[in-house]
Amino acid sequence: MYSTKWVILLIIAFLGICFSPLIYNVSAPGFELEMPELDEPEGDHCIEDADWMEPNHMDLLLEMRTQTIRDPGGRFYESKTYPGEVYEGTTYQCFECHTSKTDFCDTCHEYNGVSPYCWHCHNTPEVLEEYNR
Amino acid sequence: MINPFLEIVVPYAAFAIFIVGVLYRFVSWANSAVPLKIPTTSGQAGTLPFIKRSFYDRIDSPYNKWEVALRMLAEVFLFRSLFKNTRYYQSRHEHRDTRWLWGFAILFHWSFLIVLIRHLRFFIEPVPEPFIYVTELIALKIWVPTIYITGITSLIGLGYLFLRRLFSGNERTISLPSDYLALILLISVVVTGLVMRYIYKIPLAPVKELALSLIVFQPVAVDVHWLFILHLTLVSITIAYFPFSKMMHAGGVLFSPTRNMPNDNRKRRHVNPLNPPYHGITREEYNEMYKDQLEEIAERDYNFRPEV
Amino acid sequence: MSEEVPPPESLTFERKHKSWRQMLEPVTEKDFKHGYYHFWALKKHIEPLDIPFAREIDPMQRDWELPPNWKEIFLQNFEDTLRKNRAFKVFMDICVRCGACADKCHYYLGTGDPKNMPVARAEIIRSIYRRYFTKAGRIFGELAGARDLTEDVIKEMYYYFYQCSLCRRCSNFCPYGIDTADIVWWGRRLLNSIGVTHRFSHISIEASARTGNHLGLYPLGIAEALESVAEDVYDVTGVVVDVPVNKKGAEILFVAPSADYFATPHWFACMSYLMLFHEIGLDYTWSTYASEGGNFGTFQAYELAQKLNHKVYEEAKHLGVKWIIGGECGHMWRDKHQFMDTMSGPADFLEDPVSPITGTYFENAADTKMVHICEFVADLIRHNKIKLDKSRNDHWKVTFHDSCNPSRGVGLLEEPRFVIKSCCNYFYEMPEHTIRDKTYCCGSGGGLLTEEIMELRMRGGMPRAMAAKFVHEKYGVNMMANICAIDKAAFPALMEYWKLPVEICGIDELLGNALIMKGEKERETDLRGTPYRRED
Repeated sequence: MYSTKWVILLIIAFLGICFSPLIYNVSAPGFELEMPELDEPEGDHCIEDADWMEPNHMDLLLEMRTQTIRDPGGRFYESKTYPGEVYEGTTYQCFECHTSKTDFCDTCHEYNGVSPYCWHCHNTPEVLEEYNR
Repeated sequence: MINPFLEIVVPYAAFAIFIVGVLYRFVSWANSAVPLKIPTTSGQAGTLPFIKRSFYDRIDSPYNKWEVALRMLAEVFLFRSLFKNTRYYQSRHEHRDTRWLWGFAILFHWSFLIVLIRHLRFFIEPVPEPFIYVTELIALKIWVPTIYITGITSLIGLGYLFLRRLFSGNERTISLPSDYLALILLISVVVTGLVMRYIYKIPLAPVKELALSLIVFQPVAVDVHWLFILHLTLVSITIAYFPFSKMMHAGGVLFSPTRNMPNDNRKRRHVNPLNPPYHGITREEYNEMYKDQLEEIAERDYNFRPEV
Repeated sequence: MSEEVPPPESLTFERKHKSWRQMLEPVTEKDFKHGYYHFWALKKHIEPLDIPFAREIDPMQRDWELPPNWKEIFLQNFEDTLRKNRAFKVFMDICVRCGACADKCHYYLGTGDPKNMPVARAEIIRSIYRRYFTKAGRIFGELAGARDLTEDVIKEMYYYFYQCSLCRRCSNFCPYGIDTADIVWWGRRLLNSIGVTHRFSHISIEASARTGNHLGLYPLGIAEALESVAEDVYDVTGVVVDVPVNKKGAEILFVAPSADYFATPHWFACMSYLMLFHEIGLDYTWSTYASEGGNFGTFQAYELAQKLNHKVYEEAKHLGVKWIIGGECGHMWRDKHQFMDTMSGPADFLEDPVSPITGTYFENAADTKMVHICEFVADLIRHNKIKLDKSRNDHWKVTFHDSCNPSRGVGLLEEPRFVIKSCCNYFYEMPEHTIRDKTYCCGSGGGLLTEEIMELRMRGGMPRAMAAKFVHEKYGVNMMANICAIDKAAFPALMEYWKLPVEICGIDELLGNALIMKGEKERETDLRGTPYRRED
């Protein structure tokens, strides 16, 4: 092998990049393979089917927002999974059951490395609670 | 039955092929000798002190190893040589700078790199706050989910690279099926990714669990959505194909002697490890061959002054 | 000018776009075009060079009389090349066929033949590499862009490897620096191993290996040729200059391409060397053993290049000089800059190249100990060691053609311009994309300076001719200076063919015109005999 020094450097760099997630996971404190259990919400069932809600809740929120702002009298949302059940199109509706952002929303968002920008403007259950107090 | 195979066996096999394949290519290139120092000098060489060299000369015609490092960085991260691309207009014999290929190539490569880096959030746990902050910097926060520009631009870049092979005469002529294959693989990977993010959303937690379990070598066949399995399989095929395909240009450019060697040939000697000995007429043999004539030159005292 | 080349008005440059499958079909003698293929090497030239299987055939005949086990020999040598040359191996592997090189090749622009795209030229041999040295090619065959090695493929290699002038323009634009010149160079070496080779280069290589110069001149012939150059110097300037030949113990060995004392317009540059060295009183010598700076071996094979450039160092050692100056030549300087020290060095028996006139240490030649005449002259001018009268070049409106090898193989861009600007009042650059590192080849380099491929040469020179036409029409340029012996030989024909009234000179000729010598008479003409116009 020629120019051995450079090739070994290159190989080390290449392996370092390929295995960097492994190295991080092994060395970082607080590594958990599975997502921590979510805070069990209070009510019977969610607005829509829970399995549907998991990947698609942002669509629902977006739709509610659009209705609320654009449609006259559109503050109400009728569930598709549970026909006849009508909900208010506001995050406060969600807070009725999901009483903690930290234990519910954030658990999953943090695990998946997502940082939605909802809470830049909107209240969280925690803020609300403090305000009420 | 199919899940453990596609979720564990295939990705591990592909990853192993990728690592071993790339290392094999590196070593096989390194096993060949470098007979000559042949940098392509695209600028003024290092020379007399009063001949000024611009910054670009230093990059394009490096005189020491730091300038070589600059040249390689410019080549790898900015595609400097491609940036110089021109087009020849036959009808009026005129050249114009043409940077379409450069633009879309750099669009694709950088976008794809950022997409790859952002994928780290599925492979590391806990995800550090600054990492999320940085990767979200150029995300478009006009929609939920947040729109990642680079995912879309990498598709645009790939689309251009694909279409030019179909519609430009020169490129159609030189494109082999393997060129299309590489592009189709990448396009399908990107498309499945985009579909999962924006159109047909799938639960993420199992995906991350699978990714984590694979990366720390404690594989669990988690129940994930079929769309993700498709994505994963396409990625596996792509990385397994990587070392044996033209995609290996990513590593090969580092081995290219016309770019990674300094243009200081006359200052520092390059040694060819396999340099053969000289075969030919030596000066002594030459003296014998042309004895009479050389003697005549000697008789004139090695000096030829014109008779005037 | 040969009669058969069609006039420029009748040339068409239509680009043909074949499908990839058609591209894999070899071009054979059935499709060879007259004016594009080279004559076959003669036995008397290649046998002394140890090129095996020498035979004399016509490339247009069907049977090329390849040796019975040619395939094994070829593949064996292919494997050997892959092991010996990393560049070759890497370039086989990493091309992505992006097409950036396609319209950079002057032969592609001039002929429109898709196989003249640099990428396609490399694919000719890359397809063989894939078939025999990669898994994908072995399994998927044509789909992976691989094809069997057949006699037809050998014919195609012969046809297209000798349609490349090794100018490296494509390498400049390639995002991975793939150097088609390197592929072609080593490819020609592979062809040599089965005795498939062209005539032109080997005439010169054989002559140079035997006599020390491409022309095959004997020692006295060289000395007398130089003497008559000195006579011409006397005729123009009235100064008698000495020509030291084989002088032992001189300080500097001067090596120039042999065409300089044999052909025009090289001759005038040679006159100026003698004038310059006389004027500054340089203690130098010419040599008859190393009477050739050029190295046609660099067009053919590593070993042949070494065979020729070895002589320079051996002669320097023999004569006991301190260091070496090299004359104007293109591929010679690729050889001297990039090859010679590696192939024949180290030159540790020589001393540091320090100009005896100005005391400048040529740091950039610290190891090879060989300095380009342009660097040497630029240094002299900078230190005001020579007197120049620019107005003696006022009848020339000069442009500068960067020769391929000094620009893309050495990086010699500013020194020649500095010299020209110091010697001439009227200097105009050709369009930006045709100079410096993007310069076009004259169309005749790399072993293509031969009569039988005149049409190819004229077509290949088209982009350069068009650039010259541009400055001729815009600024009235009537002189194209360059620093390459092949340019000087090729351009007069090219300019005549494209009907451009532009003359060709070495930049040293401009220097010689401007150089004010001690004791010279008033000059009636410039070095090439053009009378100076008088006001009265």
